[in-house]
Amino acid sequence: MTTRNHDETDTTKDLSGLDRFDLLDPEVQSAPWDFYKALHEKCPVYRMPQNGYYVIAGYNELKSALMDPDRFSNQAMRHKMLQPSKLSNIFADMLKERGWEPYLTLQRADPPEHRRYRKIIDRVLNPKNVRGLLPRIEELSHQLVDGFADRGECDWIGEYAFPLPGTIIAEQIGLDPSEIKTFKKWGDNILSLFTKSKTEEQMRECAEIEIEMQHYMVKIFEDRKKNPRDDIISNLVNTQEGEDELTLQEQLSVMNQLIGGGYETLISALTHQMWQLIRFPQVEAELRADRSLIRNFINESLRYESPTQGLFRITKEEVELGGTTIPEGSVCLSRYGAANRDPKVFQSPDEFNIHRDRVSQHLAFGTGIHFCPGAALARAEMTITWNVILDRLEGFELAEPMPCPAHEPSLQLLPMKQLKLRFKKRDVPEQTPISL
Amino acid sequence: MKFTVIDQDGAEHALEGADGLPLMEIIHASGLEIAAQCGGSAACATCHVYVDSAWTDRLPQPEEMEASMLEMAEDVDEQSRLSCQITATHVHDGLRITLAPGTRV
Repeated sequence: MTTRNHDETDTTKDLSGLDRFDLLDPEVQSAPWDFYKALHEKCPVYRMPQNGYYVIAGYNELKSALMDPDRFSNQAMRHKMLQPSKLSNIFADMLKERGWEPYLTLQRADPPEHRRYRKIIDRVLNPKNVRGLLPRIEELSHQLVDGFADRGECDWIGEYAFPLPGTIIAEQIGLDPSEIKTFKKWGDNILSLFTKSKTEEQMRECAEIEIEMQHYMVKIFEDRKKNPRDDIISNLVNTQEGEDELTLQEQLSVMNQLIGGGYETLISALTHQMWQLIRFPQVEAELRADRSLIRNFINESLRYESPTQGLFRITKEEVELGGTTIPEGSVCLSRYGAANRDPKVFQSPDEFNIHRDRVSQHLAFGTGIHFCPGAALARAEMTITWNVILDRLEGFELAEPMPCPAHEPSLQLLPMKQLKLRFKKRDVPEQTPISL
Repeated sequence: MKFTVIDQDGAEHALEGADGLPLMEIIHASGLEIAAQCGGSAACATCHVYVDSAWTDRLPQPEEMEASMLEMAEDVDEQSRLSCQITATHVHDGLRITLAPGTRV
């Protein structure tokens, strides 16, 4: 698994210039591309001088780490990753006292335990079930466009990029779709714990919101035990024959990740895709001329501005990777967004090119045992979206300038602050059959 | 070991790979389009192939992980396998497989 580059050893590595980038700086977080470029040139596995975390930026280095759960563990307690121990203890104590303490499952678990949790999610979010959801996604997509098509303008995030995935994932999890704004608030709260540094007051507020969510979920769990349905919560609380029942703490941990992972990532993808159509108008013309390019457009978009720029891994032993020695117990940032711009794998990586060869090799959904369980659903929602949008609207432009930086501060994600859209409604909408 | 792959457009390709490698890796290295997004962990079904009927009984049966992933994949039939879970050995010389539509993402 060691991938030592002959040009780069610990003693001869030229790290000059890298320290001008700080991944904890919101401006670097919003546009990390120059930082990634410098990492690819100088150091594919880089120790951040600011906090001692190791950034795994090289494509091959990242892929080998993600395929090696024995040495790169996912057991990262999210409240401890970015906050000082005094604040993470306050958070854990508040949950222990009035709710349920954080617990490591699913994305935060290693084999063999990981499989137990993953099976439950896969039973609902699998490719076969996603195919059955296509008519529902298409219906909702049209309904949302109906809501703004005549106005010539819309708040793309608030009126489409959030309610489409927000409603679909709520239905799949088994939550009331009329409350998606509350779930988004909870999701943002969950993510903020490991993406933004907090004050004590913010940490207490974060715990309050999580406790509110836990008590809401426990009520739904009780209902779904009595009245099981075809949704994730029912699968979570009613295990199949031969399987051990999950504890309440485990069930809440799984829910926590579904709410945290299910909302922001697809909002970010759909919003970046619309922004790309605005920034690269020839792409709109090409997609109109050949709808089969939508597949490449989606992959290139996920490669170019990956919604999940990075997540955490912890080394279980000393590992040598990309010419860098990572000590045991180190926090690593698995930097998908950087690997997806590695020039060794993607030629001219900073260019947006929907004709790129083998673009589906990007790591935006991760790889290995933790490969995103929502990938098939996300692809279906993106494919339907661009077919419906191209049928009904055209001539996309910004109705308001983009804020600068364009993204909310976040160590690991790329959440867009806003996208106010202007467009023309097509007089005679096309009805192009959608092929996935 | 030598085998034939029929791609998503119906074209035939003669491939050769070292014994012991998963078929998915050999197909991927040849430049053919096979998403294999989870890198061989049997967690995505994007390396799904149909094994020629003459060969289905000559391969080891799928283990639990592969079988459960195949239950949840699209366009599955009795010849379906995940190519990341089939290892190339001399036993497979002459094998014919077809890439399922889901290998293209």
